[in-house]
Amino acid sequence: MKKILSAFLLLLVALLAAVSVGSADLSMWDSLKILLHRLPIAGEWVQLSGIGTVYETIVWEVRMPRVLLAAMTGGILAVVGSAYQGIFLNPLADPHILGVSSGAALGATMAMSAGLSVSVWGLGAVGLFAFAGALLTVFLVYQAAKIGGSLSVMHMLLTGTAISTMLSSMISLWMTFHHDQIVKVYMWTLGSFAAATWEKTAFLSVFAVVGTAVLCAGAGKLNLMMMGEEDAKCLGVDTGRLQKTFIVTSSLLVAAAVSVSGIIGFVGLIVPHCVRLLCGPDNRKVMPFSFFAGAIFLMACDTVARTVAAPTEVPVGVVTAMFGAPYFISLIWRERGRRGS
Amino acid sequence: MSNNCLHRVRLDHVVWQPQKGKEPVLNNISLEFFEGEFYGMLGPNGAGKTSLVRQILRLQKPDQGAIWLDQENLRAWDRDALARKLAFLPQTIREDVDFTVWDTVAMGREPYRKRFFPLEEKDREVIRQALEMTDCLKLKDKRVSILSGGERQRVILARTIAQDTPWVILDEPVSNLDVRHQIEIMGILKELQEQGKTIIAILHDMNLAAAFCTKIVIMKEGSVYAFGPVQEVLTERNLEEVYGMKFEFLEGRSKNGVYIVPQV
Repeated sequence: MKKILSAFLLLLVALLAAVSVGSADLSMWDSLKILLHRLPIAGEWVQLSGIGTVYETIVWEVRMPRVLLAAMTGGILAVVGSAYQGIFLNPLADPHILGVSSGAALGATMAMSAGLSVSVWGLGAVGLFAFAGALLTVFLVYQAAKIGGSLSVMHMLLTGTAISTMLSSMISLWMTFHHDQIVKVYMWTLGSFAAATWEKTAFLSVFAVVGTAVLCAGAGKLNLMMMGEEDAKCLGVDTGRLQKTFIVTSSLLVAAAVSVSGIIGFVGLIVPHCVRLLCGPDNRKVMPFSFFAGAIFLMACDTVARTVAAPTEVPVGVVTAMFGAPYFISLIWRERGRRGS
Repeated sequence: MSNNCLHRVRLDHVVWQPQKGKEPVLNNISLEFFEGEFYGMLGPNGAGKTSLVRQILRLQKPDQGAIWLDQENLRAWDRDALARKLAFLPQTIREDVDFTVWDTVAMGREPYRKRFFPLEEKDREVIRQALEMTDCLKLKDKRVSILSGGERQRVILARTIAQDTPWVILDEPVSNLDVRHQIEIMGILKELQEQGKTIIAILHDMNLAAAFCTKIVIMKEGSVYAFGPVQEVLTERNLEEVYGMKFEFLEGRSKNGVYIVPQV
C-alpha cells in the first residue's frame, strides 16, 4: 500500500516535470502554482503574480491535457499488457495482439479518406471511427473464436492474430489506391498526443480508472491462472468467467486508448516485464505498478518526442522503442547476473 | 440420518466417453466415498484412475450420470465453494513460473481471501504449518522453478494442505519422492485423516496403500474392479486379474501381515 502511494507520488512529480518542459521555459515551481491555482479550494490561496497568462494557457490548456493523455494511455497499455501476458500464458502478448488496434487503424483510415467531420465525447471523426473499428474487431474475434464450441484463449489468440493480419492488409490495399493518404495513415499508426484536448483526456480517464480497477480486482485469481487453467479451477477460480472479464475489459481499454492516441507499441509489452523483474511475479503488485510505470514511461517519452527535435515532433512510438529497449535489455542482464545463470 | 451419510461423494452411473465410437474411459461407474476414510486407488496405467478423480473435481463433465457432493449435484456448486470443500494435488505444477515457495503455498488460501486485502495472520499461520509439516519451511523464499522434482512435489502438497478442505484428493503424491519422504508424506496424509479429513489418493505402490489406507479402490479398464477394506480387496486373485501377472504374498514381513512382491 505504501509502495503504491509512493508510485502515485512519483507519477505526480513526473507529471509536474513534464508540464514544465518545452519551448516556453517554466520552472517546476511556477507550473505547480498554475496547477494549484486551478484546484477548487486551495486555488484561492495561490497567487499567480509574476507568471504571465500566456504561460497559464500553455500549462493548463496545452500541456496538461497532453501530458495526462499520455499518462492514461501509457497506464492502460501497460496494465492490459500485464493482463494479457497472464491470461494468455504468453510472455509475448501485448495489447495489440487481438487485432483491436488493426481494427482501430482501419476505422481511422476510412475516416481520414472520407474527410468526415463529426465530434462526440471530444473524439473527432478519426477517433470515433477508430473506436468503432476496434469494437467491431473485438466482437468479430470473439465470435470467430467461439465457433465450434466453447471459448478457448488459445483459439482467441490465433483468431485475433489472423484477423489482425487481415485488417492490416486491408489498410495496405486501401493505401495502394489512395497514395495521397499514405503519410497521414502511417503517422497516425505511429501514435501521437499532439491533438490532445481536455475532452479526450476525460474520455480516456473514465476507461482507465474503471477498467484498471476491474482488472486489478482479478489480480489474485490471475496468479492462480498462471499456474495453469486446471490448477486455477481447483483453487476456486471460475476460469471461463475470469477470461471473459479480462478479455472484454482489456479490449475496451485498448480500443479507447488507441482511438485517441494511435497505435503505440512496446509500452504494453515491455513495461509489465520490467515491473516483474523489479517486484516479482505477483499480479497484485505487477498490475497496479504496471499502470503507474506505463504512465510515467509514456509521459517521459512524449516529453522527449515533442522537445528533442522541436519544433518538429518525433512520433512517440519511435521514442518508446528507442529508450525502452536498451533499458529492458539492461534489466535482463542484471537479472541474469543476480540469478547466476 | 447420521453425519456419515451427509458428508460424502457419490458417483451415480458416471460415463465419460471423450471420443465417440471408442470405448468409454469411464464405463458406468457407481461409487460412494464416505467421510473420514483414507482411500487408496490402484490399477494399471490407463485404467481411468485420474479420469475418475477429475470427474470428482469437476474438471471434466460426465457424458452420462451425475456426481453428488453432500447431497447436492456437483454442477450446482460454485467453484469458490468447491475449492473450500475439495483440494487437489496434481501430479505436477508448472515450473516456469517465478513464484516463491511461500507465494505458491499461499495460493492454497486463495478461496478464503477477500479482494484487495493482504493475507490475514490466521492464513499466514496455516501456511507456516503446512510448510512445516511437509519439511518445506527452509525452502520458503526459494523460487519454485529451481527446486528438484521431489521438493516441488512437497511444495504442492503444502499448498494442498494450506487449502484446508475436508476432502483431499491426490494424484500420485509420492511418485517422485525418495523412500524416506514417501513414508513421511504418507504419514502426513494419515495424520490429516486422523484430524477428520477424507483422503483419496491414487497410488502405485500397493504396500504403501496396504500400510496406510483404510479402503482400497481397484480400477480396471474404466470400471471399478474391487472396492472395500484393504484385506478384502488386496488379494492375490484380484491383483493377478487386474495386472495380468503373478504376485507373491510374503507373510509376516510388515506390520499389517503381508508384503506383496510382483514376480519377475
